[in-house]
Amino acid sequence: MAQPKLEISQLTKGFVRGRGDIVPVLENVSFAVADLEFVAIVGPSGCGKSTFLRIVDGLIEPDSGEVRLNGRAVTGPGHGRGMVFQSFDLFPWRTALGNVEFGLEMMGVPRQERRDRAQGWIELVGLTGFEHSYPHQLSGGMQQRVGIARALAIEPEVLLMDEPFGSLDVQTRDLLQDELLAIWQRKRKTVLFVTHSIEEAIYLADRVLIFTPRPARLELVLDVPFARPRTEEIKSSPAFVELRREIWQSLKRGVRI
Amino acid sequence: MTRLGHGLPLMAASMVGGMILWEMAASGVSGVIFAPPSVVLARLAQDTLSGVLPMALLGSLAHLAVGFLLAVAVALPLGFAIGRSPPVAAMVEPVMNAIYAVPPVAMVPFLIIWFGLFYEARVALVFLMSVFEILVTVTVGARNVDPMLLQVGRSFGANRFRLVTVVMLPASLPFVFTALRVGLVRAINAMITAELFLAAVNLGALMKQSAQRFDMAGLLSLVVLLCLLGLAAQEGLKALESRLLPWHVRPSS
Repeated sequence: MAQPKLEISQLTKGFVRGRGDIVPVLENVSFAVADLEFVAIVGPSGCGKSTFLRIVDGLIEPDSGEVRLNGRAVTGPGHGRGMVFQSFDLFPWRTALGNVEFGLEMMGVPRQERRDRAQGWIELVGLTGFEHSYPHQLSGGMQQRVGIARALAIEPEVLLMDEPFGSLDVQTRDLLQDELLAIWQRKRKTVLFVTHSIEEAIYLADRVLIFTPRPARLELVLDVPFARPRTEEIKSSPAFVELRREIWQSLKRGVRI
Repeated sequence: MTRLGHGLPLMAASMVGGMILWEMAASGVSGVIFAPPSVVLARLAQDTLSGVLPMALLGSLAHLAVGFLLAVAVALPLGFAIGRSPPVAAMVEPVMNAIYAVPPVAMVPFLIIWFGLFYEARVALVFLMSVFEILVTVTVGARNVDPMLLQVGRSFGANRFRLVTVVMLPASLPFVFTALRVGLVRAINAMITAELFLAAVNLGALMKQSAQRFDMAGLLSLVVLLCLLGLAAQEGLKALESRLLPWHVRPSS
């Protein structure tokens, strides 16, 4: 097998709480992601999925273990990875176009070039005509399109998505899932997609990883058999329902209410 | 824009109503005790046209401007440093809060000893009275920069320097504008306080003269002038803010 795009080996992380006692968040998580693979991570809320993604992005250092991108160890944030955040977190003082340009600006791409490139991504996510709108003038769904364009604009090797549709209403979420798939068909990328929605994970991913509740460990890995391009019809197919049941059985064991 | 649009009829009604009440309160009262708005406004117009008020105002604005700009120059960088650096905050903030609690007028005797009675002392008082307001507000602004936005900045490869210039500074601009507004109002306060408590000059001298002559119309016309100056300063800064920060949606007041 070819070298994996992303290799996660034995990541462990804990946070210090109060007077020095350490709360374990991630425990010994290891897996590999192939080039251009779409991997979804499902786990109960607060299990440490976001922490995991931040470690892959290089924003947080693990206590032990490492992340390798193309065989090289990740030591900090860099342009190999582009992150889409749950609460969008656009810069309110930048227009849609300005937000998409942000990463390119940090990379030192000249003004005119980054403008042109950002414009292309704006078009790809369907926001033509809203380039000069500020985030507060855009709906949640549109803001997250900007968020996706901002991450794609730096042409990352791995796209990291942290519950990107988690704070949107159901309809918007369904539409954006389809749009993400369409974008992904056109601009194939390795994707690591964190969600707490089982259906979203199955619908989007080639492979679903199930994390246990805190501390998060890798509980189960399932291949998603559906051919691409996918349409909503698969959501009501018996295979989809069976897969969903299987994941839910696995998740349920750890869920405490 | 909408804030003004919706409130405009109410504002006008309140102004007119206030004027009528004032006129009624002053009617039949001796001119050495109170003066009606009609007389006060006529006096304001007369003293403006004769050049007495504009000259005094210009003199007052001179130390206002210098003192305020010095305060801004000191408070902005210091406020950012206190807001973003815990060691700096630990060293400076207790002292800052302690001095902030002292009424600036209590400093006048020191200012007289250090700077004399004239221009330098007035500038010093304006500086002293406005610098803390600006400092406190800017500190809060710098401290409250959304940590998520800083994380986004880091995620997209911003180094420490770029984080300051492309994330922190723009994120705290609304606070900077608020700081300038509060600071400028305090500076106007200090401007007139200095002219009353130090050597009486400019507007302060006019006020003292009017008071000594029991010239209520003259005194009130100066008060109205100060009101207008304060109002113009605040509205001017607000207009500048909505021009420069079109992205900032101020909670409707």
